[in-house]
Amino acid sequence: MDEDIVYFSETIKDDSQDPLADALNAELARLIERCLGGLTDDHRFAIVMIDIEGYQYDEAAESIGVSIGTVKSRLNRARAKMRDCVQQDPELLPASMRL
Amino acid sequence: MVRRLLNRLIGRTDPEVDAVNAFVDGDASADELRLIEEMMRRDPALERDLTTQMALRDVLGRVEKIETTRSFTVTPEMIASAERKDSGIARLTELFAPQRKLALAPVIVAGIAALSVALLTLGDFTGIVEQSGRTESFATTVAADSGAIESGFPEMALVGDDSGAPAVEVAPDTSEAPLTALATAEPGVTSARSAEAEGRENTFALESAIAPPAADVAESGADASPDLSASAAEQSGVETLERSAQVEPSEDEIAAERSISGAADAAAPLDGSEVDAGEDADLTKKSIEFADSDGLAFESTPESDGISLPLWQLQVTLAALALAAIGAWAGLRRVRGG
Repeated sequence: MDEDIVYFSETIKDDSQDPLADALNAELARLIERCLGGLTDDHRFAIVMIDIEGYQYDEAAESIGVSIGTVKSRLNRARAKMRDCVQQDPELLPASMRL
Repeated sequence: MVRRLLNRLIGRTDPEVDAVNAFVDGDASADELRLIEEMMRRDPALERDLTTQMALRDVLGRVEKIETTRSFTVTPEMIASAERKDSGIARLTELFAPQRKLALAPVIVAGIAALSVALLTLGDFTGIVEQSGRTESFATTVAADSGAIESGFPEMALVGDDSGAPAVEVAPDTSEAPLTALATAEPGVTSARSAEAEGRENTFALESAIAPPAADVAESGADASPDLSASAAEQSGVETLERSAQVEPSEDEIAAERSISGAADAAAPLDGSEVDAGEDADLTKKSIEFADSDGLAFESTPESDGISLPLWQLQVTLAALALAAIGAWAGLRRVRGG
């Protein structure tokens, strides 16, 4: 399980010159981008600001203009939807992320 | 479910949601870990879901970002700077933001106002509180308006008048003017014009009422010198002028109402002078008998045991306040986009 996670973490950001890795990275990035586009604006803002940009909950809440609880709730739903969306292309996913 | 609804209403999350987020972030406390374990016992598939979310979070953290010419990220400093330039409405909206302590103020105000309306209504039904502003004049004017107009009691129009009939004969319209005014006026209200006409005719009637006694004095004192009769007439004339000056439309209204409503009050003359007990007592007695025989409803305001309040005014005001608070809360949420 750890090997799979390491593998796909490296497919996303990989400094190696392996063309296969680059292709897989690109495919996975497109998948994530497509799944993020399928989220509502509220959910997308929450998961992008916290999981991608690395903001804290209070910072994200103040930026968006909602309560911290609302941000947490939206993030929870966004993560669940992203999980369901990326599992539609299981061949790009590590074994640990497949159903 | 109620707890979830309340939490959602005020912008707070479920503890389970907080625990899941903290677990996926890797920052779960001991209490949150215990809650997660309990949730996993209830739902065996939760462990796999949480593991997948943790892996996805790690993947998202490694997504290559597109370099932009400048940062479009909103920082807290930018927010603080923009807040200083905000309009008053935006600042007011921020005061009631979910993370502020005043977030629940509109809801609390609406709740208190609604509860007050309910308590006032309940008090009204049970008799604990009652509507203030109910006076005897109102009640009696209503009674007069409803039942007394058709009855003829011209002799009650001017009281304290010994001659009685001459006053009516001299000023036949006087008996009708107050009745007409009461018939057309709304309870407790008499038009200024009718009151003014009433005042003039009452003055004329008073003069006539006063004149006969003066004439009687002159007749009875036939042996008296002409000077005495002249002085008596002059005195009566002065009195007439004084009384006409004193009679104002508002007093005539009160007098007309009193004459219709209560014989005891009607017995008192306008100028407040004491009345002869013998003759006016008969008049009073006749008035009472006449009134009773006609079946007038002498309504008197029952003694109230409840708290007197401007009830309907308070109810309307509090209901409007509750609606305004709810509207303000909904508007603030809409402006914030929450």
